[in-house]
Amino acid sequence: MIFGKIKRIWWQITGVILFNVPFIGPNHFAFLPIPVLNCYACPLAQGACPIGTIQHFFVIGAIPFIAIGALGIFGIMAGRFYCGHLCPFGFFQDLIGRISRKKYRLPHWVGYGKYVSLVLLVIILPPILKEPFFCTLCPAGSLEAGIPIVTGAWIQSEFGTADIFGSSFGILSMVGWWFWLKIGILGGLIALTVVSRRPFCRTACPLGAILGLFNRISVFIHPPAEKEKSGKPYRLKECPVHITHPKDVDSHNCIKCRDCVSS
Amino acid sequence: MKISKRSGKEGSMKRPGIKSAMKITLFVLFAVFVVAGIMKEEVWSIISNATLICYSCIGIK
Repeated sequence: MIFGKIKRIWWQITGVILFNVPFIGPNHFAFLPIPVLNCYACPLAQGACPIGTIQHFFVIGAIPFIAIGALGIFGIMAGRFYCGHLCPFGFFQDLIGRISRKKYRLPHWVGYGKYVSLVLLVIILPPILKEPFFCTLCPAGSLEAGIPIVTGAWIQSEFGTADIFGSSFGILSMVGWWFWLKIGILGGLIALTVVSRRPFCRTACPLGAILGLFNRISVFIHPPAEKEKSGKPYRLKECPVHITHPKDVDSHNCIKCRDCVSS
Repeated sequence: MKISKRSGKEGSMKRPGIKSAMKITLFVLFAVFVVAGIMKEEVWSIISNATLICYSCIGIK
């Protein structure tokens, strides 16, 4: 099976390139909600962030049929496979996590935080506040959009260079305390990622919450079935989301990385 | 066969036909959602939202 033959890191590098293609110019796939958390405000982004799209429709008082349908189809096909193999922000957390081997285990109940995030920040607050509220806090947005765009604008103003991303006009004058709050959230998450495994994916990602609902019923990729076939026990010591109980493999926290079953 | 209390997995494995039917039903349901969205011309709204500068994403209020 192709999933076992290619190392996961190559999938992740492919995901970063696939959803952030710098050499084909503007966002040519803006019509397509993608199954990973990749901010569409990123100057290199390809595809539409499904969480941003869902909030946009709730803000304008409409039902996001295409985004819900696309996420449902992606979920039915492979559950959270995309989180473990293609998500650029998940890859970023995996890389940061390599700084320290000592990891602290988060309590099991924090895994339900992503459902609170989904219901409160993505579904309830955007239509009330008339803005995509999850985006205003999203650390992926800070990393992929906030930092590059504001840095580009700063370089432009300091050194008089060309507008790198074509979106820097007047941005610097608008940067306020909320931007620094977002940077603080990103910084806190990075610190947490050093001492724990993929904390954002497990506790706050609303996309992971949606795709996680399909984990046990997805058509492809089931580590328990592969384990039964191979007859070998799970290797949960290196699980990137700190699953410790064999019954929790393929649960809503599992990102279907298959590290526990691949030899 | 012992049925797991936490996942119910062994029990559900006994009726794979129902599981497959559920998957197909859900797939068709979500495909209908996508088709409904396309018929409502949602695509243009998605494109315009994804290509405009998202100030919320950058962190500007």
